[in-house]
Amino acid sequence: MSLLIQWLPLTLPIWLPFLVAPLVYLLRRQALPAALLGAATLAVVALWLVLRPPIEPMALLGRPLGLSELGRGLLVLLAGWLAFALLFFARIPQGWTAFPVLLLVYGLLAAALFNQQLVISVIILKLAWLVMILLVQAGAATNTRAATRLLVLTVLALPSFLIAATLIEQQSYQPDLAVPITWIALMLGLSFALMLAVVPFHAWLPQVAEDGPPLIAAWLVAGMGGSYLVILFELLGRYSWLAHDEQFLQALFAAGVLLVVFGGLLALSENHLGRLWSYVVLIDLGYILLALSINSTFARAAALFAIGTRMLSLLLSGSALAALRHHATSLHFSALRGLGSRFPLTILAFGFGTMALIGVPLTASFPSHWAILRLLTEQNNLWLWAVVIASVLGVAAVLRAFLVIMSPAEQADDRLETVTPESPVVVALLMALTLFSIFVGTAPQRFNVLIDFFVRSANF
Amino acid sequence: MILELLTSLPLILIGVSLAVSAAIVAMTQDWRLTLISLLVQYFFVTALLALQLPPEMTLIKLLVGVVVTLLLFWSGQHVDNALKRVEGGREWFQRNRAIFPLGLPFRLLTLVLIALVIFSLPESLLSSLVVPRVTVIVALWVIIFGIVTIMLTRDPLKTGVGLLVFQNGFELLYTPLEPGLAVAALLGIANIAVALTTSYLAVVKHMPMIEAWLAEQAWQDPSSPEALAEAVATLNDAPADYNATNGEVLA
Repeated sequence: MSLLIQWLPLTLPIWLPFLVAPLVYLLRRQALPAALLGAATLAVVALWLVLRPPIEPMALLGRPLGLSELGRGLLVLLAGWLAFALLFFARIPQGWTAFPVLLLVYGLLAAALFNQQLVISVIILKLAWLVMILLVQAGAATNTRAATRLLVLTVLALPSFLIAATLIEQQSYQPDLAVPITWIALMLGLSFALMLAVVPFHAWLPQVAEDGPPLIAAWLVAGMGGSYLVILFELLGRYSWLAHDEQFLQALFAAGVLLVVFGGLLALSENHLGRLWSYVVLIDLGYILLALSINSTFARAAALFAIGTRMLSLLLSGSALAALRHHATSLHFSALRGLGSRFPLTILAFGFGTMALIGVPLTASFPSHWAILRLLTEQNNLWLWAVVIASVLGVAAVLRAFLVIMSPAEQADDRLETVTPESPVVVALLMALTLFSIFVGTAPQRFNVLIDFFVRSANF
Repeated sequence: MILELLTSLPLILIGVSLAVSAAIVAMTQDWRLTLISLLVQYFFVTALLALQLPPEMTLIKLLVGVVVTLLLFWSGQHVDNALKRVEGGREWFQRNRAIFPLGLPFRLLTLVLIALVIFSLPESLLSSLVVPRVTVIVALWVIIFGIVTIMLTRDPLKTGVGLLVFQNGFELLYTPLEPGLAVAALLGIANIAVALTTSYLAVVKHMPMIEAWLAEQAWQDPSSPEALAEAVATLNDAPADYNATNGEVLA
């Protein structure tokens, strides 16, 4: 009982979403009350996380528990992200179970980040992914490709994570056993590659972006992918032998270049706006991995900034994509042609969010992407040019999509008359995010204190 | 009682039963036989683990196996009941090749090749792990057949069973290395979650197809060879040379 009293206040971000989820489920048919209750719960959690003093590591039933500063920062960001998304869902539905299920998933992510043991964290994250599969399918009949792919990758990624965790523990507690770091790097590399959609294990992301609700796809990358990125960060901070291992850093570099190059090339060849968006997401991930592959504090700070702005850009582009799909019913270029004049602001928000993922000037990710390119220049790395060219291809792909959508329909199309116009509330939300993205992109120095704090807390 | 009975079985019998159950999952189309094999596999995985671990931990595995099989049985039965309402429904379902697009001879050839690979593995690899040699061979066999099942099928139910077989093989190697009760319990919950998701996907994929068939008697799986033949025929602007109702190619 005393253990419960001691732990209950400390674990509010885990149990509060679980507690509220059944109530939200009861309200699910009334979108606005469900969205407000869900968003209010997440606001309470975020406030609790910001105001509470740091949680010191302690043990529960012999297992180390505690929340790192990086984990705390991520949970605050995700709470804000999800609260905005839930309010957006009230206007642009993404499946009627989304409200309670996303609260449950947030609780599971919090449980994974509260746990300091990699073995337990990755199993809890697997549970969260399995729950997310229900939202990806969202009741859609017959076509289960995206959901099945996610199911397969979630199960296949777990063993390599567990083996890596066991080897890391052996290496940490019994260094004389000399577990080959190559094996640890290989297992970690494989599992992160599967879960973060690194080429050639990226196929699930375009499929989810095509078949699943767009904002749910964005949450998969932001929330679930963000949790894995933070775990990777913490591993590098906790185990300096891993952070300084040349092979591991080279693997990160190779994965980064591969992601940017393939992302740019594949985006240019796409005729589906959702799939195009997913390839641009790969470009952004590539930049983050490139930053992590450079062994310096400045590079880690750039990676952290890129993770933060990635969340913002994903929310902006994912919301705009969801609004477009809601109105146009399909995201294929042929279905979008001529719709530009009907949704100018939504398309502008999508363009801005997607450009931000590539790191175009004035957008949120520009400062971090520019810093990463500068670091590559200092290293005289020739792959820099491949990264720059692929990024330009990504920009060209977005501009091509923009031109297709803004161009007039080839023949008289009755569909254009029946499409509902963009909602003022949705446009207001999208414009607010766009303005915030511009603010982050033009005044990155405002976040220096925050980034410095997180870099220091990660023990680099 | 069950554990005593299982652990009293000869090791070779446990190993062979596990290998056969994994092969049946990968080779057969019948969903009942697949699920019975999966349940049998859970019993023998429990038996093999009980030789190395405390009974309460291995009982979790058995309990999870029963729950997982019941969940999958429910969705299999649900789809089967719907097919029974249609005349020739089962035959139509098989013809869509949703379970295995490739024929039995190909699957049998795969089985032979995998057997050859496993039995030619170097001794150094088999003895490098802390678990007994028999366990390593059986676990590798089960893991590979789990992956083969996933690769060969398009059906969510079969995919889910393949994933659970894969997970069983992995846990045979992993559980003795990490014998914590919390990890075993969480892995059990994860397996049940995999079964739940699989059940949901199986019903979501097949039920609308069956309902459409009931309504029009002419539904076609878009990824079936018949659908491909129709698409090619349309492309060539030639009249389709097959029966649109049952998918049979006429010439």
